[in-house]
Parts: sequence; C-alpha cells; structure tokens
Amino acid sequence: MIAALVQHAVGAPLLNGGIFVFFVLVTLVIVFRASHRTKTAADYYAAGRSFTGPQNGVAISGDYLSAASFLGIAGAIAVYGYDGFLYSIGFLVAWLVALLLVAELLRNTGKFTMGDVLSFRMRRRPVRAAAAVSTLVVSFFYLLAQMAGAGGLVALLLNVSSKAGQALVVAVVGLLMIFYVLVGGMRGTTWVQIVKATLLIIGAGMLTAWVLGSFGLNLSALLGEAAAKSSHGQAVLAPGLQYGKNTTTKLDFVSLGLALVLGTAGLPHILMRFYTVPSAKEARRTVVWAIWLIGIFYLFSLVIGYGAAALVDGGPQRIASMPGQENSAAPLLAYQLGGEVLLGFISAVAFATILAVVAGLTITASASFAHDVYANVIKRGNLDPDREVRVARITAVVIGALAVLGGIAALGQNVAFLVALAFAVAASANLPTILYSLFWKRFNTSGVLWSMYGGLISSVLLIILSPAVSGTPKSMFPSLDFAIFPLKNPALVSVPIAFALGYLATVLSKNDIADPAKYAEMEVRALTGAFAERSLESPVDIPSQPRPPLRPMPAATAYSIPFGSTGDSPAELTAKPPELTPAAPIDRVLRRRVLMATGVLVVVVVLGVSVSMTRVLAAPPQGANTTPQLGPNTAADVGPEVAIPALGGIIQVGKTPAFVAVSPNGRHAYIANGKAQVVTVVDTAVNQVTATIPIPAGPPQFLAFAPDGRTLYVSIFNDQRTIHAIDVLDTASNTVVATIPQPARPYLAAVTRDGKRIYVPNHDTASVSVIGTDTNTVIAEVKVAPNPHWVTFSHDGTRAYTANHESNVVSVIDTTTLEVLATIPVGASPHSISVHPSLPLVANVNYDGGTMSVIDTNTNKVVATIPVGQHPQDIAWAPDGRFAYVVNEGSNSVTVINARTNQVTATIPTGANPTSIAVLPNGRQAFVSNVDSGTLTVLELTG
Amino acid sequence: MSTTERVGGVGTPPPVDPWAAAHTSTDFAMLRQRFRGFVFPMTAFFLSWYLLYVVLAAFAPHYMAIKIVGNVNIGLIFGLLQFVSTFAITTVYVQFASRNLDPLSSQICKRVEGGVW
Repeated sequence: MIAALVQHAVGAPLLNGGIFVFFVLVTLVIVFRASHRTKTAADYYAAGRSFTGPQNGVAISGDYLSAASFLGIAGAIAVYGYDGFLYSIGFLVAWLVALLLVAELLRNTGKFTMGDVLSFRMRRRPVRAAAAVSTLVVSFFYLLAQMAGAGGLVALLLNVSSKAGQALVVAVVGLLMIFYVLVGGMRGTTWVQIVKATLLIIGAGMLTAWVLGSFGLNLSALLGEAAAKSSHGQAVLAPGLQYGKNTTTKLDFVSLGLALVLGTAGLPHILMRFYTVPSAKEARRTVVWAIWLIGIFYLFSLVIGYGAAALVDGGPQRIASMPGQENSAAPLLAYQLGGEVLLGFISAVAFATILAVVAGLTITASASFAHDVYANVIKRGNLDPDREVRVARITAVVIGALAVLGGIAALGQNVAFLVALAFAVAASANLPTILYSLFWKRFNTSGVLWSMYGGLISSVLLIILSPAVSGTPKSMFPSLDFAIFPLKNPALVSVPIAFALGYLATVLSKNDIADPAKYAEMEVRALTGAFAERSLESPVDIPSQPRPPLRPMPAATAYSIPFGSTGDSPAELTAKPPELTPAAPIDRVLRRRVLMATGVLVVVVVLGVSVSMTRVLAAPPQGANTTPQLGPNTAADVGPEVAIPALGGIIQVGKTPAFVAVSPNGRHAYIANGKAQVVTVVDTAVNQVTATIPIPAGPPQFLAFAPDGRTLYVSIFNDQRTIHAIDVLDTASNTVVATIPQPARPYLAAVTRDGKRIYVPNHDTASVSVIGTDTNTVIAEVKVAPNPHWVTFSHDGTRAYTANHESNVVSVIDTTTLEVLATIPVGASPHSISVHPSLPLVANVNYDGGTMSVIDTNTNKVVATIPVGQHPQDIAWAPDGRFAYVVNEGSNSVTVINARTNQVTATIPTGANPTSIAVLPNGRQAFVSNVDSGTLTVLELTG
Repeated sequence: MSTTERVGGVGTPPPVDPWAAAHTSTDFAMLRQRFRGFVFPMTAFFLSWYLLYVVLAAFAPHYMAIKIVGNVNIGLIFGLLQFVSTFAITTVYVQFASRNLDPLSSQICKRVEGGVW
C-alpha cells in the first residue's frame, strides 16, 4: 500500500525492497557470527547465559515491541485517539509484575523453560506436560497470528497484492526464521532482536522529535491540531471512541486490560529470555532496561500517533481509508516527514521485527517440546543435551513449517483474536501457576494441573463461545451463532477461575502433599540464587543439594532420596549419571509417553491449522477482514457495535449524477453523468473531483468495475433507445479504449471475479448477455424474466442473480451451465440487488413495493421483507456485513438496516432524487448520487 | 549477622539438608520478610492504581475528558502518571533491592554454596 502510495505520489518504489534485502543480509551475517558459538543446550536455548542485563533488556523490548505494538498502537492513536494510548499503558504496567514477582525468582529456579520452575517441587512429568501444552498453545497461536500478519504487512509495504505473492512472502519469512533458529539459536535471534530494537527505538525517536519540533515542542498544540483534523473532533483526546459504546464493550476492555497486565509475565517467549543472562541480578537489570525502553517507546508512539493524525495529508480519514487502515499511520508519517528513505527504513524495521519475533516464538516452542516433553516426560531426563538440542532443532523445523502452512491458510483472515487468546491463556493458565509455585508453600501437583488446564480450557472455551468466533458478521464463522459468552476477551472470567481452581484443588487434595524440603530448597534458590549462576552454565554438573565439602557422597542422589518424597524429583537439576537410573519396563511406558506427547503436539497443530483452514474455506474471497492484525494489537477487537451514519459533506459532481461506483481499492469514486455525457472521477482521500472523462458514444448510465479495478465498464443508452453500448474505460489513463455495441439498453453489468466475463442485463430483451473480456464479444445469452435491471455474482462465482423489474422476481443463473436455476418471487418491481459480503444472503429492493427483500441463497426463499422509504432504487451492504443501506429515490433518504435484526436503525436525508449508493471497501464512508441536485452526499458510516 | 543453626539441634549429627538449614535461618527469614514486605504491597498498589485507571477510562470518559492545561485533559495526565509511577516503582525497587536484599541474599548464597550449612 505504501509502496503503491509512493508510486502514486512520487514514482520510485524500489527503495523499500532494497532496504529490506539489506536488512535481511545484515541479520544473516549476525546469525552466522553467532552460530559457531552455539554448541551446547545452554547455547541453543539460553545463548550460553552470556548476555548482560542491558543487552537482554534491549532484546526483550524487541520481542515485546512487535510490529503490532509499533504500527498498531501508533495507528490506533492516530485514528481512535486516546483509546490507542490505553493499550500501551496496559502493555507497560504489565512489566511491573515481571519485575517484582517473576523475573528474578524464575531465573534462579529454572534452567530453560517455564516447566523447569513449575515442576521443581511437584510431580515432574504431569506438570511438565501441562506446562508444555500451555506453552505450545500460546506460542503456536501467537506465531500463527504473526505469520498471517507478516504476509499482510509485507504485502502492504511492498505492494504485493496477489494471494500467491503473499503466500510466497510468508514462506520466505518462515524459511528465514527457521534459518535464524537453526543456525543462530538463541544467541543469533537475540542479536537480531538487539539490532532491530535499537533501530526501532532510534527511528521512533526521530519521528517523535520531528513531530514535536514542528509544533514548537508544544504538546497541547499537537493535540489541538490532531483533534481539528479528525472527524471525531475533541473526542479523540478522551477515552471511549472505540470501546465506550455500551457496558459489554466497556467490560470487554476491562477484561482486555486484565489479560494484558497479567498475561505479559506469563508469555513463554518472554519468560525464556530471563534465562539468557547469568544471574538474577542481570534478570532484574533486564526488566529495568525493558521497562524504560518500552515506556519511552510508548511515549514516542503517543506523539507519533497524534502526529500522524495532525500532519499526514488528509488526516485520520485518509489513514483509515488506506488499505492497511490504521497500521499505515506510522509509515505514512515517516513518508510525510522524511520521504522515501525514512519510509523505507521504518518499513524494513517493521519487517525485521516480524522475523525476529517469530524466531523467538519458534525457539520457545521447540525448547518446550524438546526439553519438557521429549527429554523429561518421554525420556525421564535421561537424554544427553546434544541429543536434546537435536530434537529441539527438528522441532523448530516442524513448527516453522506448520507456522508457514497455517500462516498461508490464515492470510487475510481476521486472526487478531488469536493474539487476545494467547494473552488470555498466558494470564489464566501460566501466571496463577507461576505465582502459586513461587509463593505458596502448600501448592501441590493437583493445584498446578487444575489451575493450568482449568485456565487453559476455560479461556479457550470462552473464546470459542464468544462473538470473536461466531454470531456477528465480523466473527470467524459469521453464519453460525453459538456466542453465549458476551465478551471477546475471557480474562475477566478465566483468570479468577484459574486462581480459584489452583486454590481449591490444592486445599481439597489432602493426600497430595507438596514436598516441604523441595519448597525450602526452591525458596532459598529463588531468593538467593544459590547454585544458579555457576551450575546453570553447565547443566550436567548441577548438584541437587550442595554437599558439605568434607563428606564424600556417592552422588547428588544422596539428598534427593530422603527429600524427593514423590520419587519424582526434578532430574534436570540433579547430576544423575544416566546409567544409574532404573531402566524400568521402559518400552511400554515409553510408548505411552510418545503417544501422549505426539497427541499434545497433534492436537495443538490440528486445532491451529483446521481453524485457519475452515476460516479460509468458509470466508468470502472479498471479506472485510483483510487488514493485517499483528501482535498484541487487540485494539480492533473491541470495535463499535452500533454505527449510525452521519452526514459527512456534499461533493458537486456535475449535472445529472445518476450512478456512483467506487474503485475496488477505494481510492476513487466514478460517477456516470448521463446528460453531460461524462464520467466524473472523485478522489476519495480528499473528496474532490480530479478528472472528467468524456463519453462520446452516448449518455453513460451505469458503471461496473473489473475486480482488479483497472477497467471500468460503462453502460450507455439514451431515452430514445437509439443508442445502446458498453464502453471499456481504462482507469489508469482515464480514457475509453473500446466500445462494445449492445442489442438493447444495457443496465447495470457485472464482471466475474476472474475478470474474464461481463454479464450485461438487457432491459428490453429479457436476457443477460455474457461477454468475453478478451475479445469484447458476446459469447452467450441467457433468457430471464422481464426485465433485468441489475446483475450480481455470489462470492464463489457459481451463481448470478438478476433483479427483474417487470416480473417481480429474482432469477438465479448457474454461471457454469448458464441455466436459470430458480426464479424467486420478491416484492413489487425489484430494482437492484446486492450479495451479502459474508452470509449466504442476497438482498434486493422493490421500487414500487417500498421494501427490501432478503433471500436465503441456500433455500432460494425470501426470509425477510423490510419496509423502507418510497421508491427504493439501490442497495449496498457494509463491507463487514453488519448493515444494509437502501437509497429511497422517492423520499430523498437513505435507510440503514441492521443485518442481524432486520430492523431499520436510522434514516438519513440526502439530496434530491438519490439513485445509487457506493460504500468504500473499508466501510468508513459511502457516497450517494443525487441525480437532481448534481451532488454526491457523503455518509460517515462509522459514526 | 547471625549464624544461628537450628536444624539438627544439640548433639545430633551434622545437618543432612543445607537447604532446610538455610531456609530456617533467621537471615533467610529476614530476607524473605523484607522481600515480601516490599513486593506484595507494591504489587497491590500498582495493580489497584492501574485497575482504577482502566475502570475510570471505561466508565467515566467524561471525567477523563476534562481539560486542565490547553488541550491536555485529565485522561492524558492520568495516563502519563501511569508511566511515571511505573518508572518510579522500577527505580525504587532497584534501589531497595540493592540496598536491602542483595547484600543479605549474596551472604546466604555464599554460605549455601560454600557448604557452611
């Protein structure tokens, strides 16, 4: 999008690509340099514990400031104002939990993974299995969201619009990421994070200084200008624009706030970073650095967000109307201020961010599988570290491949809820267990299992039952409705559930007594760091208990026998030589363990992949959810539930604007001016006429875009019925390139989704002509009931629907056999027809009946008839499918219908004799052509 | 500092578990009490301070919109104060830890690692 913008505005787009490649090369060099020092398990998982607190603090900021934090928060502030700022505060305050309660204690008691700490004084295998399940779920969902977002973001920045191109981008991201992980291990990815985070913060600092400088360092002036530029005015300076609609959305926000503040310290890929430093003191410095860097960065974001609103040409409206919507705010600002070089720099940093974050997630997931599941659950700790690292590397490849497949499947889908899910699971399953383990002596294995699985299952279940998955047109399955839980974020309920389950299960399981000696050991280790620094450098030498120097002991087992009451002491901290372990009836046990572990992995993977696959199969090809949603950008998740359009202004567009169509990219509106014999072009960023194209063949009446937007088909006829033709208009040059003669008056045509055929309703011959776009000649004719006005296609392209004015029916045409499959009686004089963006519904308006009919396309029956104004002439759906807009020519108004309840929610006045309506693909504005006023009425749809 | 050893008691063989010995020592009790005495109230404070902010933002947007200086309103000041308090708690904790926790914990650590217990 941005590249397209640059192309559009300046005409030199290759720079982005060059800077991207340069960045990738630099990171590859870094990874290679790190590779020859990655040999042991501690090297691979924890970078040999060689990083200093400040280095790790920068890296952890890099992990945390994903592309979403960077682009999403600045963008949310630019478009929604204050509400974007709220998210950044939750993300920041969360670090205090990590600083005070988690980081140091965790560093002192664990080795590589969350499972190390949780299993320290519990029955090792079930607890490790639970920790691994939770880690894999969180990491995989987070990874999937990042990968899907990567495709979207890079597509946005490099102007790759085809599905295949985006899939290729995801595959390349995946390959690079696997390479980072395999070759560089934790050390390589950490260095990549450090470089990237430094550049990101420098870049953001430059933008901030630039913005503040242009307002004379006056924050108030900046805020005033941002409010002046926004259509929401002063409302952008206070909370409530985005989620303040009703009590449910407000509670949803509180729930999200809770998930953010408690989830961060439970995110496995963040936790694992605490092991890359040599001591708890360095872990503390890590968090301190992270807090300062992240805090300062979010303060920058505040200025960048409002700065983008105030300074970008066209203001927040233009940002929101960009294909990347609010994600484009920071890049647009960079371009506005520093031209292409700064834009390329910011874009490349965003790309590097995705690479580094997915690499960190993959290491975490592979470590959890290899270390927790394979080495300790399956092999019971009897695995040499080299072999374990080999397993981790193989797992990383598998996870990387799955992430690529899942990411491709989820491309362009709304996967933002996966991020919300990741935070909610981290807050519900991980944090309560971590806190109980560290601070509650009595906490036992039952408590761990109930709390983890309870938190995991309740948060996943509540999300499945939430509006994020079903029940609204924006849901994953818009056609189903099992959303019995009203909140999109489950944390408000699932976090208390997890705490309560952990408590109750512990208190009620009287026989399951946690080993008090292990608790004593854990607490002393946690607070003092005894044996943490030295021993963890080389895991094989760890004594479980330090021995008085003068008393020779056979092995560390000397202490673990009397105190390891469950017989299941944490072997990862025990220097047990492998051969000393009882080689029990291992075959059967082993097989069971393998089955269990494979099961865990398969469940996670199948869930992830099938969710995205079904989404792809169930989703419309041109849904509204094409915005990339990355990282913890849950901003868009708590959207407004009620949109009452407001009048947005009037554009003079010539004498008789009878029909308006918006280009598929939303940048232009084309208006057919019949009497003037011109097509008028309006730039939707500024809502001004930018071109007037003469149509010498005759009066233009209707306009149909090819799906790629490059060609516009103009239906031409005159009142005397002596002229009937279709003009082919090239939108790049805005010139007519061909004229196709027609046998009768062509009404509103439609182009098939593949762009190969045009269907033209011939008003006077009761037929539809099928024209091949390659030769511009009629290749077939389909007889329908008299007289077809409008034609449109189903999303899968297998059906065409015509509204037949004189016979009060809608015809359904099979586009393969060109047979009429059904004729559906509707109201009096069906004039126009429109397919719902996601549900199996088609709606038409009945000109003489004054109604709108809704047809279920599965049964081909009318399922609702809704009274609207007089002489409804045109209908359009909101791109998210929540509302239908009907233009009433006879009552000079637009009727807004809630698609879910079929109730009229608003009626808005227009100019004289409104005849058509076109909605921008981003759903924010619509244009109504007023044929007798010579104007377009602009409707602000999002209120 | 105390070197009290309660584990084992008088006349019994040397203690078998140094962790338990360290755990029951008064030094460790003091370390834990100082740590918890700082961390728990501070956590309660910043969580309630944050939740107050979130609830106000969600349920009292008009209050947050009251302007104080120029275009700067209560909501913005409140939000910036969350940054200030986060930075302040971080700094205070680091100072507290290096002054009151680290000397004690490294002392205990040395004794545990050196096999004094």
